[in-house]
Amino acid sequence: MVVSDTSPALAAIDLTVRYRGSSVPALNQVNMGVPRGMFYAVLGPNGSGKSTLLRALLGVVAPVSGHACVAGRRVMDWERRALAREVGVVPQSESVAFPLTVRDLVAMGRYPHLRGLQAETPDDRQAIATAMERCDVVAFANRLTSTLSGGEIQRARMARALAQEPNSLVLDEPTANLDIRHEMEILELLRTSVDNGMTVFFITHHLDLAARFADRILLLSEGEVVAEGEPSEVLDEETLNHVYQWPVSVAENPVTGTLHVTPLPTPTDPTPRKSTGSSRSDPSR
Amino acid sequence: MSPRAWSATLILAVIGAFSLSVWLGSVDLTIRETLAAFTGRGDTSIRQIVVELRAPRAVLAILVGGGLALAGAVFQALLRNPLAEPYILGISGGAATGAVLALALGLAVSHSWALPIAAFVGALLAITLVLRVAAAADDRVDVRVLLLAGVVVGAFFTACLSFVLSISDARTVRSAILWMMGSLAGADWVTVMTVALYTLPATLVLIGLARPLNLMAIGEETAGYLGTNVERVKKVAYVVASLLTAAGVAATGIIGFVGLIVPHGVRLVVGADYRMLLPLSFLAGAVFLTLADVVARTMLSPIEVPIGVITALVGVPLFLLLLRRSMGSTSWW
Amino acid sequence: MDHRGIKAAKHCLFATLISACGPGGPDGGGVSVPLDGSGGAPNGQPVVVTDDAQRRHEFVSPPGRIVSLVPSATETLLAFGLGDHLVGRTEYDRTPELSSLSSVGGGLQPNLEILLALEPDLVIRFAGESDRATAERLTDLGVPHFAIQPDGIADVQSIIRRLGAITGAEAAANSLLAEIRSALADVQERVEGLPLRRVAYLLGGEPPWVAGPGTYIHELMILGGGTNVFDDLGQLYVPVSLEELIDRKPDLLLIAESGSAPPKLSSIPSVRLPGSIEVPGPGLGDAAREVARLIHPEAFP
Repeated sequence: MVVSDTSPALAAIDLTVRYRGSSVPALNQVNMGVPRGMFYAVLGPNGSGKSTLLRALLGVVAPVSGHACVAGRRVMDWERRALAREVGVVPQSESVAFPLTVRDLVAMGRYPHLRGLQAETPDDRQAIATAMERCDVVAFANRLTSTLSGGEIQRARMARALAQEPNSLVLDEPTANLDIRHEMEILELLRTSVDNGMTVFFITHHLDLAARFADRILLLSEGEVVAEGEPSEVLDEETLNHVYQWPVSVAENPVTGTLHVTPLPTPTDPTPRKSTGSSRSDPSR
Repeated sequence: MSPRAWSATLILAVIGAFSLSVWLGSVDLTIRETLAAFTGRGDTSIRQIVVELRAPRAVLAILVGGGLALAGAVFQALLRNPLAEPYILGISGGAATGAVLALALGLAVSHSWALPIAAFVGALLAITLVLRVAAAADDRVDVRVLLLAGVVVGAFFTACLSFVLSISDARTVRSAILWMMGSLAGADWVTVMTVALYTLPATLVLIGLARPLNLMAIGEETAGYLGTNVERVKKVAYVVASLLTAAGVAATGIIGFVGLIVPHGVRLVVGADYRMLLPLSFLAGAVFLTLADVVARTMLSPIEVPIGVITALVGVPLFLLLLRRSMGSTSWW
Repeated sequence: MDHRGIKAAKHCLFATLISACGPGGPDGGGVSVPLDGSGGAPNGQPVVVTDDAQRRHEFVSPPGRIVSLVPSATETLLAFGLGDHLVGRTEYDRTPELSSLSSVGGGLQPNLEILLALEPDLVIRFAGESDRATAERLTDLGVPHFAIQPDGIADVQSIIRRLGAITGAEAAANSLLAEIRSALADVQERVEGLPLRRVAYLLGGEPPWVAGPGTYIHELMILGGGTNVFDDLGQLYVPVSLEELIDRKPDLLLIAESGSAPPKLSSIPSVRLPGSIEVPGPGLGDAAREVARLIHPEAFP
């Protein structure tokens, strides 16, 4: 399939989305673009429009004005199965109505490649096996999803998205339920994929993780773009204080060399303040 | 047993059930007499019994039993609800109201076709009404609204039907109740051909939707992300499965439990992949209803026990048995 | 119902023929027999009879293998002494004479397999829409069937007459009809001039189902010197509220054998009818007498 290398993997142009019954737009005149081969993180407080942006970019939600593009083409012009081969999505949550094994769940990632009732080919089986290995879910291939923990299911869903062999991966808080090891494994996996040409669009609450792994960050607040750029540009104390309505301190982690964000105690918090390492500005009262 | 082995077994079972169904009945026949009837030899009345009475009845049981089980499986995926069955969306209420009106207005006097046609029209009305209610302004179908609309429309029709019955004479009431209990007794070759004309294409269409229906089980949003045209699948699945049910109800009245129990039983044995679940549900439903009909006809001969009674009395313990055996490895929501 | 109008028309059509061949009296359906009065096969002329579904039947010879799905027809044939012509029965035929015969189940929607296996040359069935499908199946399968609708007194007499013609048992039919006629006349005489008693017939149920005009029991009530308090109903049997029943001030309640008098109406005299007189049939004379006796016991010392 012909893919324009210069066009952004995902882009929003003057995108405004309003949900029915709401007077306030969920996204207001959002302009952003995910360059190909980038690890792009989306941050923002609850209700800032992150998930809405994801839905709008993938054509699930229709905008009131403006439009969304995938690989240089308007998302509404994409044929669904082709879009599914281009972009793999790991949603924030899913409920499985009937008992399903992990292998069956991951195998669904190959559906966009299969016509009608066509059986799986060896290529499909290989893609599924590889994806399951990389997400460390091979051990429960035959277990039902209902018997897994939240984190294990999330890894299974990630495997499904990888099995799609897409050019871009879109993930909505994929590490929310994962322990340190699995979280790091997933992020390292994503980082490696990006290094190999995959584009990653990653919604998260973990400011530190975004700072460490992302090439670019988009910061949203109340449906509008507050900042977009490299982590060092976006993760600025004043900006974050304003967006999150909570005082924070941004500092460089001596071990990893990347930025980390620390929420500060407010004046009413009784816990004694410990002295911090090098800090970019004085803690605000 | 692999799904392929199950298919072969069930196909053989369908043939076996058909054979039993033409051999057994109120009148005892030897196997030889039964076979002779098919080749045009033998006693006239025996030939009539086998070829004009039993054979079309057996074929109708296969078509309707298979259709109901298939529709049940489809509705379970569509509504993401293991309690879904073909009548949950008001179809039986609509069909029964149509049939009862035809009886009460004496429409069935002119031609006995009036009854199935009236039932079908009633079912269509219910289907259309439910779809209208469930489709939002932007034409998207919310399946939770679909379920609610179906239950409510069904209740409305049931009330209409009770009203009509309450002001009807005793004969009408009796005929209506007999119709509603469901029976394959009216099967003749014309009915069978008509039902087959719809059932066979509908079955192919629904089996073709196996993968999209698999995806519906993990949610519409994800299904969309994996390439499914969710709105189209919902509408096609709903309409085709509903019409399949309506065709069955028009021909045989209301036969319950098949659409609920058979898909579950098949799921417990072969798993949730609809590429296997759909065709196997059809075959299992066909076998189940054919055998249930044999029991209904022979148990208290000459009286025919209403087939809905048999499907429940036999189906429920059978299903519970399957459920217990798989309890260790299955957990419901 | 239309059915009644058509019957009336039939009366006119066949009136001359009928008056020419048998004793006078109410008659439904047409019977055409040679004018010498002996009727049927022996003369080689076929008997032509119309049934209550308005179909003409020609009988070259009397049927010898009959299955009757209608109890009153069964009783009539037994009264003619033609029990050996019956080859099957329904679940409702409990007389010892018939117990050895195979049952075809209910009178409506009989078991077709058993029916076919009995190889009948005539099936007597109920006319009316509730049995349309069976009628069509029988036609498709080539089984001759004759429809009757024994709703009232006139129907019963017409059925006796027609069955007599069909089976060549005119003599028995005529004598049965004469018996009935004389019983009816006797009843009429006895209740002549007596004040009309207000009566209601209850089938049972809550609210109770009552009989309106057009039913057999209604006619018996009128004949027996009573008046049906529900003679304005549009249908044969309908459920009515207890209030309505009380409001109409019946003097007597006739209760069906399988029913019961509503406890709230215990102040109104009620009597349970034996099952045998509730169904229209050849026992018409006895039934009329019994009902009249219950309504006017004083006329039957």
